[in-house]
Amino acid sequence: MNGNHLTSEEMDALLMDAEARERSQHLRVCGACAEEFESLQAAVSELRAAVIASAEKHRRVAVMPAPAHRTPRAMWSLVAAAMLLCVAGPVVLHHSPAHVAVVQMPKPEAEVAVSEASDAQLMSDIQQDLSSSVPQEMLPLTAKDASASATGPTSSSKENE
Amino acid sequence: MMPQQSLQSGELTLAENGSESVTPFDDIAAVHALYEERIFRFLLLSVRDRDVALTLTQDTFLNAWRTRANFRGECSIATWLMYIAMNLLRSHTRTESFRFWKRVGDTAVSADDLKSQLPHPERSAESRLMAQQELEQIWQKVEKLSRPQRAIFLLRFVEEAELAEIARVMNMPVPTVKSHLYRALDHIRAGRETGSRKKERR
Repeated sequence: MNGNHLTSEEMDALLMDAEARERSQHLRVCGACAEEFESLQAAVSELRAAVIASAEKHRRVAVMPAPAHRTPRAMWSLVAAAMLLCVAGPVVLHHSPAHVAVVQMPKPEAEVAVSEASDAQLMSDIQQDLSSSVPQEMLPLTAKDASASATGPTSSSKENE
Repeated sequence: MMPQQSLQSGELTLAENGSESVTPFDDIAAVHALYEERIFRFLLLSVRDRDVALTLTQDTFLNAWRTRANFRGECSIATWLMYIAMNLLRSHTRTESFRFWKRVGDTAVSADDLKSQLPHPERSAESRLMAQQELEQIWQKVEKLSRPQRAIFLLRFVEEAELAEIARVMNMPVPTVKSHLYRALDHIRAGRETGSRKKERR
C-alpha cells in the first residue's frame, strides 16, 4: 500500500487473482483505486473479447477456405478452357483435309473392286480360250475353212465337169 | 504433483467404470470439438501464423491421442492439451525461428483485426475511438513481450487459466509464473500510462 492507495504490484496481484480481489477491502472503500482497477480490468476484458473474436475469424478461414476463392478459380478455369479452344481450334481446322481423305478412303476400295472384277473377267476369258480347241482369234479362219470345205466339192465337181 | 482442476460444465469427464485404460482422449473427436478453438487460438497468438497454428493444433490432438495412456486425470483436459501444444510450439520455434519471425504479420492477429472486433459497437464514436486506441497500445505491448511472458499473459488473461495450470503448461514453478506475469503487466501498464499521458496532452 502506497500511502492510502494500492501499489501497481498490489493492483496486478488483484488482477491476477480473483479470490484476492474478492477479499480486498480497499477496493470497496477507495474510489480512486476501484476506478483504476476497473479501468484496467475493462481494458483486459476488451482485449480478451477482441482476441477471441479475431482468432475465431482466423480459425474459420484456416479450417474452411472462403467460398470467395472459388469464383476466381472457376473464372480462371473458364479462361484456360477458352484459351485452349482458341489454340486448338485453328489446329483442328488446319488438319481438316486429313479427315476428308479418311472419308474418301472407300473410293480406292471401289476401284480395287472394279479392277478385281475386270481381272476376274480377263481370267475367265483366258480360261475359256484355253479350254476351247481353237483360239478365239483363229475362229474366223476356221469358219472360212468350214464354209470352203462345205462348198469345195461342188466347185471342184463343177471344175471337173 | 498438480492439483486436480475441476472440469467445467460441458467438458468431458473421466469414465468412472474403474478401468484405468479408458481416458477422455479415447473419444478424440469429442475432445477435438470442445477444445480445438481454444488450442488454435493459443497457438495462433503464440506462433502468429494461421497455417502453422492449424498444423500445430492438429498435431496437438494427434499427440494427445497417441499419449492418451499417460493421462491420469491429474490435471484438466485443457491443461493437458495446452501442455502438448506448448511443447510443439517450443519445438517449432526452435527449429524454424527464422521463418517464425519472417512470417509475422502476414496471417497473424493484428491490431487492426482487434480494433474491428472490439465489442459494444453501440457506444459513441468518441468512446469507441478511445477504446480502439487503448486496445492497439495494449496489443502492441503484448506483441513486444518476451515469449514466456507473452504465453503466460495470454494463458492468464485470454484463456483465463489459473496460475497453477499455467505453471503446469509452462513447466515452471508458480512463483516464476507470477514473476513473468508481474513483469508483463508492468510493461503493459507502462504503455497504457504513456498512452493516457499523450491523450491528456492533446
